[in-house]
Formats: sequence, structure tokens, C-alpha cells
Amino acid sequence: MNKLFDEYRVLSDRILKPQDERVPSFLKAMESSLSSQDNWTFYLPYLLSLENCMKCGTCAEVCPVYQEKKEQIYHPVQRADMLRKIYQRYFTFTGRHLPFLVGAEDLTEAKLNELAESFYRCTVCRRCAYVCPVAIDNGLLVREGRKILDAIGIAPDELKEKGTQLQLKMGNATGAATPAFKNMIEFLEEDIEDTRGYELEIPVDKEGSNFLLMHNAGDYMAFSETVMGAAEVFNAAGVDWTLNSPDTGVNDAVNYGLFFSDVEFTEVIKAQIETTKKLGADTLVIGECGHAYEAMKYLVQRLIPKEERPFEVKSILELMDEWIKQGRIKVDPSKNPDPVTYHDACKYGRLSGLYEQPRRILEASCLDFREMYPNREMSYCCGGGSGFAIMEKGDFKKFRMEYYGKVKAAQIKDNGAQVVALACSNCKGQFRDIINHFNLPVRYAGISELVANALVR
Amino acid sequence: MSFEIDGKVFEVDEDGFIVEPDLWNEAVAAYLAKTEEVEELTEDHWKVVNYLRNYYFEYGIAPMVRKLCKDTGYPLKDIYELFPSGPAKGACKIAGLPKPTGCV
Repeated sequence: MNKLFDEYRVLSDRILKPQDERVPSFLKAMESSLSSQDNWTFYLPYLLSLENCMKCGTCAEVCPVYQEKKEQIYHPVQRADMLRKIYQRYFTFTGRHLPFLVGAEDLTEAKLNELAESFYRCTVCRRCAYVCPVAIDNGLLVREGRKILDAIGIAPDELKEKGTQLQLKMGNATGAATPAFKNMIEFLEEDIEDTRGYELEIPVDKEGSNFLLMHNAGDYMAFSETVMGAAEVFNAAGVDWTLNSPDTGVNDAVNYGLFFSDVEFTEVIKAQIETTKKLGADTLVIGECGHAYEAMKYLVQRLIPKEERPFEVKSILELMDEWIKQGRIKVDPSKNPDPVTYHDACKYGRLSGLYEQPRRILEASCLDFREMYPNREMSYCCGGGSGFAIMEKGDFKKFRMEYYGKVKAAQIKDNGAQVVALACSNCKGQFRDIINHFNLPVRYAGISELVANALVR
Repeated sequence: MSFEIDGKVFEVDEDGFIVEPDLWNEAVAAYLAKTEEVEELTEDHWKVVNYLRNYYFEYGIAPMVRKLCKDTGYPLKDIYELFPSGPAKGACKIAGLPKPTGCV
């Protein structure tokens, strides 16, 4: 593969198709993105962000990628301007007739390559949007740009072919059929008995329960301590709950469409809603997955009418917080004596406002909770966001370590925690790599795992 | 992309995983091991590789990491020592499984 602007290539030639003529179809797809009829999600902020950037550079001061090496290609304004220049040139009166006046530039195939690769070098963490003095969202422009790219057939296979499409076909993006899923549940029940010394039944496909708990399916495979912990907590709370198998439809909370396509997003969310309705649950509980929560709690509101979603949506973090407050579950912090810190996942924090719930949970169930700095609204993205944690081609893992991981590793070293508490699968995948790569003397754990460990039975 | 062993051609995907798990053999494993910083496949490696293959052919998917550790008796730390890029990437690749998908 040819290099585009540095030594990495996250989009392979098979995905990017550099030999094809793509500019005309890109412009057509962009035209459609600029129509309020065709763009239902964030049309207005999209248009405002295209038109109003003052180029003050405040965003660059807080961008974790740009701050690492100060390379112009990673400047958030420069990235967003790739789309702005096309907008000016082809979709404004002045740009069409007097392009030199407004910095409008023709789109070439070479520029399209750079734009595509560049738009997948940003995790859309929205730290830039949080500080912008005129409320411009350069992160949103990246997402809109990815939507246009997807409309012309350019999307990472990890997110589409092996992501949304596999999830719609198999019920989950891990590709686990029902026999495999049941085998996992059996194993988890046995393992809880072996490690905790008591028997627990994990309900599956129970109709009409109060809570349908949908995990990120990747958690079963790679972070099953989170799934086990959640089962223990729900059991201890004594509530009527269930997991679901692919037999009932979708049994995976993820919605990678959030990262790159409203079309894919809608297909997945409709299937998830259908499954929840079929099982007749009062509340759909989203397991430890940041983007799935943003998707089902907020982005869904832009696309699916309320009456078509006759159930409540809650994060497992909100539930555990409530249950601890109500005394429904009892926790003993001395059971988690090691210093614990919490990493604010972008999708829970800046995108959804869940800052205090995880902190209250951890303060109640761990003896020594300490913040890392900066945190909350100004938390640094770990570098796993927007699906990056599962992308490795073109030396991309090294990119994730060098550009985002390094900052995060330094934060952890500074506060001396031995456990990094994480509420999101992408964060878990990225921290697993950060801990190995920088040889940090810490471990990561899911919030449910720490709560389960502190349970007083 | 592909590689050749004894005149036989094996297709690999962009992540370097062989496209047809059925065509896998021990020589293929040894070849793929070199791409994953594993110089020599020891008895410990084979135990993990064989476990992965058996599970995959029964369930159509790689096993949960926790189950792999418990059933083979190797703690995760040891799996990383055997396969530096981890169970999902290194071990599955050498065992000739497709690359695990989703947030793993």
C-alpha cells in the first residue's frame, strides 16, 4: 500500500479503491448530505460548522492527536477544512464563481484519499467541540464526512462488513450463533460457582422481564469478567432480568453505524428495538459500552419516533448507582482495597453526561478511589474510540499507542492507581494494549466486576 | 495476498489471517508463527493452537478468552508470553482461525 501522508494506513487499498474515479459520486453524496430532507440527524449544526469556523485554533490546543506531535495533518481545523473547501467550491455561490476569494479548492482523487484517511485518524472524542468559543463541532464534520464516504462505498471493514452487516446477519458482531452463545453462558455460570462458591442461574430469552440486559457482544469474548460481574449484581439485586440469545434477534448492544453511517445505524437500532419489543422488557439495559448508550439513549431520538420505542433505556451504570443508593445491593469497599481510578469514556461523558454515576459507584465499592487529571468534560480520549480499538491494519495499533496511548499512560502513572476502572469495551481493548505496550504496573477492570467483587451477600 | 509452502498457495486476508481455515496444517502454523514474533512452536503453543481449532470447528467461533485460559490451564499472562500479540490476534492467526470480529 502506498503511504498517504505518514507511515500509517488505516484504510487499505481494498477499502479506499484509489484506482477508481470517486470524485463525482462523492460530490453527489455530499449534495445529499446538505439537504435537510436527506440528512435527518444533525443537519443544522453540520451546516453551521461548515460555514462558521473562525480558525482561532482553540480546538488544536486540546486535541490529543495534534498535541502529541503538532503535525499540521492532525490539526482539527485543517482536517475539517478538507470538507469545508469542498463545500465552498461546489456548494456556495461565491465558491462556484470566485473560488479564490473564499479558499475554495477543487476536489481531486488524491485529495479524496487524504480526506478519507484523515477522517479515520480522529476518534471523534469531541474535546474540540467542548472548547470551541463559537460552538463549532469539528468532530461532527468528521462524522458527516465519514457518512459521505460510506455512501460511496468507503468504510473500514471492521466497522461495516464485519461490524454492522455481520451483526444484522448473526445477531452480534462477534458472529456467535446460539449454540456458541449458550456454551458461553454455561461456562460463565460454572465459573461464577468456581470463583465465588455459589450457584447462580443466568436467565436467557425470558419473555416479559423487567430488565433486558444487552451487553456489547465483544465483552463475552474478551472481557467476560464484566458479564459475570453484571450477572452477580443483577442476581444480588433480586430483580426480574434476562439476557438474550441470537434466536431472539440482535443480542449485541453495539451500533457501529454511530461511527460512520445513519443508514447502517438505523438498520441496527431498528433490529435492537424489534428484539426488545419481542421480548417485552420494560427497560432495555445497555451493558458497559459507551457508544451503544449514546446510540440507544440519544441518537435514536433523531431517527425513531418515541411511540415506536415503548420501553425505557438505561445504562447499567445508572442502575447500579440507583441500587447502591437504595440499599438494594450492599457493597463493602474493603473488598477492593487497591487504589482505583476511573477513565471517562468520551461517549459516556462528553456525549451523554454520565460523570457522577460511575464515581459514586466506585467510591462506594472501592477503598481508595482517585481521579486522574484532567477528567470529566476534559478527559482525554484513550484512543480506542469510534471503533479504533479494533483496527490494526497499516500499523494502526502503533498509531493508537503513540498518539493517544502515551497521554493516557502518563496520566495513570501520575496518580498511582493500580486498577483502571472502565465502563466501555473500546476503552477496555485500548487500555489492554496501552498496559502491555507501556508495561504499566496496573490492571483494568469493568465497573460491574468491581461492584460484584464488593458485594455483601 | 498469499504465501506458498511446498508449492501450495495459501490466501491470506489484509490482517494476515488465512482465508480458508480448512487448508491449515502444521507447516502453515509454523509460517504464520514467524509473522507473529513466535520463533518456534513449542508444546505449550500447540496445546493452545489445538484447543482453539477444536473449539472453532465445534462452535464456528473462537472461544472466550477466559474459557481458553481455564481449559488450557494457562493464565492470560502466559498466553501473552506464548503469543505476544495476544489470544485474539496472534494465537487465532497461528491456529488458522478467521480474525475475531466485534469489540474483542
